[in-house]
Amino acid sequence: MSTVKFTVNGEQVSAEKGETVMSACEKHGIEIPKLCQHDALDNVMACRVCIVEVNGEQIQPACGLKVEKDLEIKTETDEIKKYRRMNLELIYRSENHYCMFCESDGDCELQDLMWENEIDHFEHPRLFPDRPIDSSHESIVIDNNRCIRCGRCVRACEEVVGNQTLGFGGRGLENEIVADANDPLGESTCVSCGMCLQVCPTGAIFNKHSMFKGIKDECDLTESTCLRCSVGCATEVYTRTGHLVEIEGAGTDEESGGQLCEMGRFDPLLDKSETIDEVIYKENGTEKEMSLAKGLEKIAEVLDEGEEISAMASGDLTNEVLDSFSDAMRAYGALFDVVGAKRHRFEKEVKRRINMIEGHFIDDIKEVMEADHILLYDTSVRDTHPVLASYIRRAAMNGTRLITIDAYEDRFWEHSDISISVESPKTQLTRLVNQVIREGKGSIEDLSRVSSILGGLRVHPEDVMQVVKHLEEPTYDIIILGSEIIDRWSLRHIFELAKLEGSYLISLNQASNQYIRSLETEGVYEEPDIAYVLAGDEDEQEDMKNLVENADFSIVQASKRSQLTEKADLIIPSLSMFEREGTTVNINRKEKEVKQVMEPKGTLKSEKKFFEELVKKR
Amino acid sequence: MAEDKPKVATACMCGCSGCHMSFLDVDEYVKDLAEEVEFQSSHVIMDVKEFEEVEIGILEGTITNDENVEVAKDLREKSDILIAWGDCACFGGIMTMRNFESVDKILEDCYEGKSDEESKVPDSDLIPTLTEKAVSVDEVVEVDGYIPGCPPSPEMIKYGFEELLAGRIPKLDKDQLRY
Repeated sequence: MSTVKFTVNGEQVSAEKGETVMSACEKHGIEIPKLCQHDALDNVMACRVCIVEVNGEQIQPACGLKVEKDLEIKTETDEIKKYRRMNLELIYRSENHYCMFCESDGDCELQDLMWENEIDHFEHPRLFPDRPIDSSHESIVIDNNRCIRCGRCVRACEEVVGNQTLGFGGRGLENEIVADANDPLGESTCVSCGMCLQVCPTGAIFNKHSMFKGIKDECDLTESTCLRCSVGCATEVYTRTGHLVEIEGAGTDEESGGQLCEMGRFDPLLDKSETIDEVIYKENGTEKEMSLAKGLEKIAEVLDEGEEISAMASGDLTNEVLDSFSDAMRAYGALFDVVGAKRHRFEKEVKRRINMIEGHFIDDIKEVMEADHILLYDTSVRDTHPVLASYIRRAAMNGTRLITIDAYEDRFWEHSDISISVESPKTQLTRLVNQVIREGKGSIEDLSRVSSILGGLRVHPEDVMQVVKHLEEPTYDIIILGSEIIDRWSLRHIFELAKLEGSYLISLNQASNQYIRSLETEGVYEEPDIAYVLAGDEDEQEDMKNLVENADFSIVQASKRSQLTEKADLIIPSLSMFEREGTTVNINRKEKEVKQVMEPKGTLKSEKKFFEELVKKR
Repeated sequence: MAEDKPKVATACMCGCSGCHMSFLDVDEYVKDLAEEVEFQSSHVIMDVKEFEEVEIGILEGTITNDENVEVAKDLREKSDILIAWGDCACFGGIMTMRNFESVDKILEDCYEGKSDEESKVPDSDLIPTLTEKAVSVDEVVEVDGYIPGCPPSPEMIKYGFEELLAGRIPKLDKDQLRY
């Protein structure tokens, strides 16, 4: 990369060739005011607030101006200040801004710039245009009255989330932000990730659940890791007086690029379930509270008596909690499992059987954007790992051929080049693909013959040939397996296919914490004497529910009331997602820190200590 | 002695008197101020409705009816320096939200059949007529200085007086300006 030297306000600055004046200035600590520019997005030069003087003769926006040798830039001349002020005033007065009751009052980039540029009155009359407000979405409000048409939301929706829901509608002064073909946002193709409201510089797009709970400057900020799926996005959690205000993605995060999804951004704010603060013992249908010490004795007593004990932990817990729970359960002779570990055990078994090397597995999910072909088994990825889904969509938008295979609705249908619907197990299709690659096209030409061999097959040979055609090209192919695939045969055939074709794999399971890969787990007794379930903050998992239902006596440790605690005989408080501190391992095998956002509210203050005490009672 | 002090007149047009409340919030500075200036008319501290010739005129609120226009013009004429207090006087403020509809529609929405089935839009010569649009003060008369805020903080109100008494037109800098 060659270096270019130029001057800014008389000072010499060096920058990389191809860099913008704005970026070069920022690196040298020279701040240029901006509204439409955002580091995660392309520059569109819409707001004209970052204007600078070029070579004493021109005025140009710094975000779109590439550095050139000997360029003379001035950022704060009287003329520049005058025009910047005028642009700001025109932006402000063209819309209906009322700072005094705006949700973003105090958190607004436009307001900051108005103050910064000392605008205390207007030179031009205000317009008072008629603008729509869209509050049809459960969590997101679009108020076009406060929109400055910077288009950050439109760019974020396309460039970062790969969803292209938001766009501009209308022309000139009637230009406004619309979803799809001017549909209500709540009925649109929106995936509810909230990236639009995170990048909005004003109060035009905001979070319904955070509104008027406090401005960011007055909140406590904790940087942590989201534990809702194994992508493990970095979060910035804002709290005030111990209450959750807002959760945002951290722009510096490698995995997510600042993204979060509905589960990470909105669900915790929406959760109104009753918390569990005390030990609750159920006797003859009535609930009795007991102290934590008594609860501990009770657990020890129950576990001591049990012959067959099954212990199951959520996959959304930290390494430290999983370790200490597993230690405690093994001390009492229980079989131990974690939600999501079953899939991992099958995977290990298949890998051993077919001699699959680790090199087939990718440890950077962003790699999907580099692939020539993506073969996606189980499109539930859109809901289980939404940030990974955004990379798949972005890849498809940029020319990657996307082949989706699902038994149910294809959740990538807008982006999919070939969408194949097969009943689960998906082994049938994959087996045929394998067969064709091995034995040639002739082997499936007579579908009726193949059908009779495989029995009740519902795969179209054309589909098989399409998949074969794409995979056989000497290209960079990535196969992604969603977490809903739990049968060994599907795994085996898909892994074999990857091996045969030299494709790479991203294999997902239900656990958010991939520490389960290094944790020893085994299957549990399906109908045990005693079940001990340590729940997380996720929606209740089937495996846990079945275990609690089938046990003679069940202990559920959870932070909030749910169907699980409803059925439990003994309820123990646990910490909630935001009360816990520790580490987690994400899908890229990277260890990430989970920080304590709030003080524990219940009687239990440390899960690790609690389980250590439990071991001592043995 | 009293004749040497500059005279000040303040008035609230279509506003909530919040700026004047902020003015009263300057606490003990009121005492110092009273030694420096003479208040000729100010609805929060005295009951004098007619303006005399003053050195400093201060207006709070939006101009939204013909009485406001009259007050603004009257005070402009009688003051050497006219200052706008608050978002309403400086920018138009919350009152401009009526500008999205016509005056007739607004009146009809507010009065027709509201208190009971027969209630009508009030029609009396005693009631000021609404202007076509609600506007900031500087759209009707020339303003010399602006102290925006909703309301401006007592510190900014005080700063405004201090500047005026030092012979300068107050201008809030980027660290002071908040609205």
